[in-house]
Amino acid sequence: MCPIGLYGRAVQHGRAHRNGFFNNLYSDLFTAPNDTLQSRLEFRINDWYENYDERYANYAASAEVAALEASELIRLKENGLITEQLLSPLNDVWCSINNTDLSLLSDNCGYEFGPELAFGHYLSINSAQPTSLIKVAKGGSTLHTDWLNPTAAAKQAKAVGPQYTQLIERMNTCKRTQRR
Amino acid sequence: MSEDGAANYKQNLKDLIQYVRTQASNPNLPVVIVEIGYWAQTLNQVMQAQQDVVNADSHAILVTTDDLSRYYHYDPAAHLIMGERIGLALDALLP
Repeated sequence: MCPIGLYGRAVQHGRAHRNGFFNNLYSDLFTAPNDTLQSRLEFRINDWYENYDERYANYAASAEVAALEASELIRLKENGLITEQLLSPLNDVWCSINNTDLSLLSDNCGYEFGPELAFGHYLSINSAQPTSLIKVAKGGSTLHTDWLNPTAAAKQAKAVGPQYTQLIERMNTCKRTQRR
Repeated sequence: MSEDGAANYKQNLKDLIQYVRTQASNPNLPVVIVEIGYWAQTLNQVMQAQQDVVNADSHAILVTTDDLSRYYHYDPAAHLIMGERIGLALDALLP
């Protein structure tokens, strides 16, 4: 299957990974007793809002959301999508980010992540086909400028969006280097 | 987002999908759109545009996120949950 394009907002959660959130979350997911798991995960999520980005994220903290997300994480663990393997890139997933060539996720872009992490694992579990993920993302970008397509650009006498151009270039690279 | 950006969002999204499908040589390429985040859901025009595009395109689907993180880049737990939702949405589009 090539390509699958993930068009969406930029995600830079390397800091979240590095600051131990994931290690703590996983530690709880796989070691906490079932009767305290929900509350432990809620604590971890609330703690992330308390500390992430020099407390900037705290404006968005919500006990209701933390409870829902904690229960969803437990469900994903029970369904087999969240496993201890999620901490390490799968060895049969290839990716292309910030360069033009596809490479193994474990060699290139298995560190910072967005929705493509669980999505990639979902495909690995549920699809028999080889998968390539092409991520093109930039924080604060808009369809009106960064992703502006050629038709709209010509109509508005503006430049084609650099993110649009990058997506098309990476799709072409993917087609050229498609693994069979 | 500028007024022009919001006003043109629907057409720009339709055009982008069209271009990507052309580039992929697949006019029915499945497209999964992740709903704009909770923090920006006061942008009714954008939310409606996303819904309108999906309603008019039998090979596109919208993933809802309004129950997840209210932080503008979501939180790490939300990203894991969204990943599954995108997968499920894609499955719903595939034959």
